[in-house]
Amino acid sequence: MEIQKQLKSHGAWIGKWTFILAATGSAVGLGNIWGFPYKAGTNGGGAFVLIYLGCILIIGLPIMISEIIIGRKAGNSPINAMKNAALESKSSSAWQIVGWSGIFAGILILSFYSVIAGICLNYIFIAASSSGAVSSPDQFSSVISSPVNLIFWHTLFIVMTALIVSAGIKDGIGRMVKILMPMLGFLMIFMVVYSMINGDFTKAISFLFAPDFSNVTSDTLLQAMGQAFFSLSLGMGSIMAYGAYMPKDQQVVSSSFTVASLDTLIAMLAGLAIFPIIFAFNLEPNSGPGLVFVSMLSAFNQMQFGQFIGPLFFILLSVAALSSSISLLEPGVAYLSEEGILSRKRSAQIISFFIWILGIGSALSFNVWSDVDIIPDKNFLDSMDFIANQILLPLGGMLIAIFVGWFMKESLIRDEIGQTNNALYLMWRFFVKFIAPLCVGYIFYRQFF
Amino acid sequence: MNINTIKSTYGYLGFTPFALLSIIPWITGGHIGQTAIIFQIAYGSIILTFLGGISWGWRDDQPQQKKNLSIGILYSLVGCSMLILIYFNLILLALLISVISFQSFYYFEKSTHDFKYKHEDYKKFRRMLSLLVAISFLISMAYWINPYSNPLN
Repeated sequence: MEIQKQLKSHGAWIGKWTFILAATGSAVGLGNIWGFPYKAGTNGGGAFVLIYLGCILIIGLPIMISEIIIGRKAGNSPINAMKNAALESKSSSAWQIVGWSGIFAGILILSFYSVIAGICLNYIFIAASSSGAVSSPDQFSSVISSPVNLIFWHTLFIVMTALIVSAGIKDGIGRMVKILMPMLGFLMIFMVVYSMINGDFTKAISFLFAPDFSNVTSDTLLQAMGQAFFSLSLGMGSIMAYGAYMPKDQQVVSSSFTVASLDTLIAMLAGLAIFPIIFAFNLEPNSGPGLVFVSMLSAFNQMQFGQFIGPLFFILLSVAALSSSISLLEPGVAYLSEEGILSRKRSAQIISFFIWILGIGSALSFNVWSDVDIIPDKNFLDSMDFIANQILLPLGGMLIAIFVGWFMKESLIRDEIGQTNNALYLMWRFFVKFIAPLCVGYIFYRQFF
Repeated sequence: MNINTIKSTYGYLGFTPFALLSIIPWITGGHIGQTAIIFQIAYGSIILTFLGGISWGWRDDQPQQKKNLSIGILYSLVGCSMLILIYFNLILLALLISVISFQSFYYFEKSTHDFKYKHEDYKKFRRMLSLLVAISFLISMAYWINPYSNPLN
């Protein structure tokens, strides 16, 4: 009864595809677009892709299914969902700490993510007006050396995120993902087609997909495991929060498969959009974030119709960032509003303001605070990244797998999973009980040692 | 298996060569790539000629069937002409005509009186199959246009 009431206060996704689009939007972010293709290309191409797909099956999907089960069971924010699932399984309510850690991680990530997403927004206009007179590295330096500029675009991005989340599940996030995700798909296909016609597509295919097992090392496995875990937005409460709004008649397992497949597909398409252009202009494919802001801008400056294609590319990045950022804000907003502490609108405003303040620290890390360390040898932005991505997310993901694998009552799990092939169910149980916690624990351990 | 399932199974099996022959050039490049595209056009010309012939088997007393017979012959002739284009090495033109022909044949079939009464599954399958075949030719066109992969460059 209580759950019904709380569900009503948040609302629910309308239709099967809204959850899938929202969760895919959460999973597909800037990291997919510049991270996956590069890792694939430098770690054995097709061999890496195969290992990555294996890791998605044994780590990513089991944890994603676990998060959705916990979220949908309660229909609440991650904190209350964990507490609810723990109490119903006769475990300690202290498990809610996983929800707190996820929300905290989301806030930290969004604080620097919005600064980087703000740069993407800024680049839409830079790419449209760039004549090539200023070299792309100088252009990038000029963008990041101005605190006012960074804070302006960071503010704009946070305001956009807050406005969407404050409008609610149906009218805000649900409506926006139905616009943003098809737009992302359309822009991605357009970019791939453009690269297919004009870029060095054959070289990109060979770079991304030609299997080279001689390049596969233990580090490759670690990279594939990390990519599989981080790319699906696990451990930060986003998928759990979105799962809470999933209709009861929607299949958890097949929806998770669809989300993971779309996430992988978009990451591969991103590689097929970016690398043909990079290779065509003899640019370096291994420059991480610099790949999009320096190398790609340099390519757009040189290519025909670059002032049209460039802005489209940065719109694509901004859309991917926005669909992820709303999922980072949602868990905290859901908690404050369902507890009746603040209205949804006010919760979104207060948390966004706090994130905005934190984000200023990250914006200043590019310039005036570049030498200010919060954690030894890490500036403000790197410290936020370290705490969230290297500590909180792996810990959260591992604890979720341990909770569902070892502590959650099986009848509750069965209720949420519904009719599923028994062998598939047992396999999932095995992965979530043993393999996923061990692998995520290993990722966590290797980040330090 | 019902008749629509059989049609879609064979239909998608028939699509496999289109898919493979449009992907092979991107993987192998060079002479093999060029040959794959020529095979794709040749296979397309056979299928298009076959499709044109199918219209002769449609119900004779359906409205506009006399016109359909003429249009069907036209498609068979276009199918044959694609082989001639290959002979004259007009590959890009042959690919372009293939895209247009397969899509337009779908619209031609859809416009017939009896198509309205076909099973919904068949209608969906026909739409999807025509789209996939057109995409496979577009992928080959991109290979041919692309300055880094065109075997004639």
